[in-house]
Amino acid sequence: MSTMNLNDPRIEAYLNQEMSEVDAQKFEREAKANPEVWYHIQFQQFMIQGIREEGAAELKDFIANRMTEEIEDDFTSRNIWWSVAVTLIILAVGLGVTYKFQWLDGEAKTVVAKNDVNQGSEKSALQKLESQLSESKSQSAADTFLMPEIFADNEDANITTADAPIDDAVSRSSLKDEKRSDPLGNMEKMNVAPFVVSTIELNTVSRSKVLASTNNLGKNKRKNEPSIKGDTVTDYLNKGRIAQSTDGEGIESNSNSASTFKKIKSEANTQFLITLSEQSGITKPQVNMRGWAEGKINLTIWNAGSVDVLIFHLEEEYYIQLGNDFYYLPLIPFSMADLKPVSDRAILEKLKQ
Amino acid sequence: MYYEGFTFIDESVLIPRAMPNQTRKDSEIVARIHDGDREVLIDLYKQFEAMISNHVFQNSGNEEDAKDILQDTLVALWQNVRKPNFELTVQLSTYLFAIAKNTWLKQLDKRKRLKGENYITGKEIAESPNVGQQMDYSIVRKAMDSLQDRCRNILIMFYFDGFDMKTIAAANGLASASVAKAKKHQCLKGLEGIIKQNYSASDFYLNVES
Repeated sequence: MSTMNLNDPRIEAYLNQEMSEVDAQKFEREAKANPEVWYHIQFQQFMIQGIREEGAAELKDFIANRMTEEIEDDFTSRNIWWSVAVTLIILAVGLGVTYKFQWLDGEAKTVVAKNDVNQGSEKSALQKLESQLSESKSQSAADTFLMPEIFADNEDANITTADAPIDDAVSRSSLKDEKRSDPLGNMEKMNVAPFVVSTIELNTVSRSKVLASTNNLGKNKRKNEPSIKGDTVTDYLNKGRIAQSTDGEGIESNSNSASTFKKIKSEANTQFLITLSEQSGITKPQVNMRGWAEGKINLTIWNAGSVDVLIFHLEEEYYIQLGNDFYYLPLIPFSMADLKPVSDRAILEKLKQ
Repeated sequence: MYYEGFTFIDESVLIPRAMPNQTRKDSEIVARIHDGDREVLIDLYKQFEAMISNHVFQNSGNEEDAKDILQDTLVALWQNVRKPNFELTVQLSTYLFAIAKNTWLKQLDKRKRLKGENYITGKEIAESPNVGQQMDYSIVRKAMDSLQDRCRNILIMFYFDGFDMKTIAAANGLASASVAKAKKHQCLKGLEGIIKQNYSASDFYLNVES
């Protein structure tokens, strides 16, 4: 009969596995002899194993939860980086679109600005061409007249600028657009509507005559004039040739207006910067002298249509020919005036000559 | 030992190839476990996840199985290392892989038995530590939910983690180790009372020996 009871301190040592194997086996044999003690020990072992399983489950939960957190943290951090990347991309695209619109807006403004006939770029282009013309002039025997420089850049506004020197008793400058080109290569760079008067032709008659016209929305209303020989601005620039009458007569042959010739000769440097422009619904030709620009008389001829523009200087008066019509050319600075047809038959005859 | 449907992999070949670079010395890991630093298990999980999962995948397991085996392996490592006389005589990776392999083998055996496909010899069954232990420990776990948190912690720290009474006292705000020991005894008595109050003896044992 076992003397072991439930308060035996060895039970605790046995349950806590603090006994040696030999002592544990001896204790087991003794405990089993007392059913109450053995049941107590078994019940204690049952609870301890349950506690261990609970502890293991708790530790497994801890590991699982921590790993879930790690994965979520990793996912979150990756999401953050993705969010940052996506945000940057959106910003970049947004900035790009904004920049593009600003650029387009600026381009539109540039076009609008270029449509203004007084653009500095045109003037500088004119200056550049003029300087080249001057160089060519110095190399030419027939240096008594200047070629006009012609630039225009707006199809809708039908704008042409012409630089017409007066170099004869009856000097004429005309604009013609049988060809289109960019004499200075500036138009594309400036994003200007590609309206360029390209052809400058010299009259075979004794008077110097330069023709040019606008390109009115692609319509070319001019017809070729057999009496005029062509010389393009491009050729003119590239070859460094001076524009001259091709028959070699030059100004001197224009003896029928000697008095004027002299006078004009004294004004050889007088040049016109002419802008042709159209107003919708208004057909009456008008002139606006906008002043002087770099030594040139700056004119805007309104509603001239797509016709030749010729300027004459006759007996101290200026006249302008629009197509077949002749008008007085009032040079009143900073004013807008209607062009009045020339009524004096004598003058008309001279002009027509 | 060979089981049908189970490819036994020579761990001497597998481990060196699959073993990730050790980020900590084994002794440091053991020391951390001794100190009760559970975070070391997370580090080990990351370190050996690929190796152990690969083993499970190659031996009829799936992703869930791999996770369970990993967790069970780390829990077993924790319990073993925290035993008073534990001594690591092999590389920790080798030891860990051995635990994982055995754990997975037990799991496979259990499944086969449940399916009635017992490919294990009688001797192997007898040697299995789980065989014959058919007690319903969920009763204890349920009863522990009724305990105060401090009691629950003390019992787990003592019986599962194997902390000494001094550590348990410090961790639970008790004055001394002797107070902790008395408190542990009191908590165990409390757990016993809850179980006996709510369950009969027939509930404790799924296979009670007469």
